[in-house]
Amino acid sequence: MSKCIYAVLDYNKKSALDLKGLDGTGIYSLPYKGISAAVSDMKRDRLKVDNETAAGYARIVEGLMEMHTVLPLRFGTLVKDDSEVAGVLEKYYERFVNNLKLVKGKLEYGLKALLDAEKTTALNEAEDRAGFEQLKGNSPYKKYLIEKLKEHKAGQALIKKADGIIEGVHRPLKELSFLSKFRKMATERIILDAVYLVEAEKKDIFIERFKEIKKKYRDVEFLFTGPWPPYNFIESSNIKKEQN
Amino acid sequence: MDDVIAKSKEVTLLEILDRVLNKGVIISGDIVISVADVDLIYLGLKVLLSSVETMERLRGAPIYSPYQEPS
Repeated sequence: MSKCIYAVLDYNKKSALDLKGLDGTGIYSLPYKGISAAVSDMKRDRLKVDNETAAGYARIVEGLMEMHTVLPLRFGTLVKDDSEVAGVLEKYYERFVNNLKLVKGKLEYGLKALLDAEKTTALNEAEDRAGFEQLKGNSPYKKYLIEKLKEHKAGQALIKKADGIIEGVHRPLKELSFLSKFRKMATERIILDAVYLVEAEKKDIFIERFKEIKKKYRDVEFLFTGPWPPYNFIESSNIKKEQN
Repeated sequence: MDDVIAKSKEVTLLEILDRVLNKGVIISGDIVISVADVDLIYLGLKVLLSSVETMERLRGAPIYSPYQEPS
């Protein structure tokens, strides 16, 4: 037997939360000085990591988000009993309160911009054909040199494309967001991987802005998702500092 | 998440798993981040492999979002 903690809430009552936990028992809130933990009883001491369980966990956190401001806890946070849950709330109280204030009334959106790297390389090679022609030759050295040049040019084209996406897509969305984070060239194909924390009242404007921007980039595939609980905007480093 | 603009079922699952397994508050020290019987269908995908590996490696230790610089 154990307790699974799903999230910390800006809620100060002990009550049933009208949601089932991962083992089918009801989720309830355990309060501490104006905040609470959303927990449920578990028959097991470890969580199985499979798609169904992880997706179920995400659904629970989403359900909690519909009722309260949430700080999602990492999948698999299990403790022995209610007194340990209370201990967690007490120990990290200040950080939880600060994080709840930060994300209150806000939603997370994710955006990935994906590019067909082969297409970009082909385009780039066509543009630079004249340059490669000058190096034409059959010696292994020249062949090697040509290949390396092609790779270099292809890389440059992708970086240039990514910079254009950051300027033309990320920047206007960032301007509408409360907070945002991005990675350029997260992989060869994902040239932009960004997350945005958006005030709830700006949600519709934010989505419309994305739709407008998307029309200008026919050659880029976008994956726009949300609203999510604020998984990416919790200051976990603060929690670490407090432990030290 | 009814108003998500674009998501296919599989891609959405990946987005969900990336958040659930890689993000969120880590409580470390006296509490164990507990996972068992790893059984993910999408093992071919880097994001999930790294998620599971990260959890196994850093049980009980705080980790950071890839977007965040450790302070």
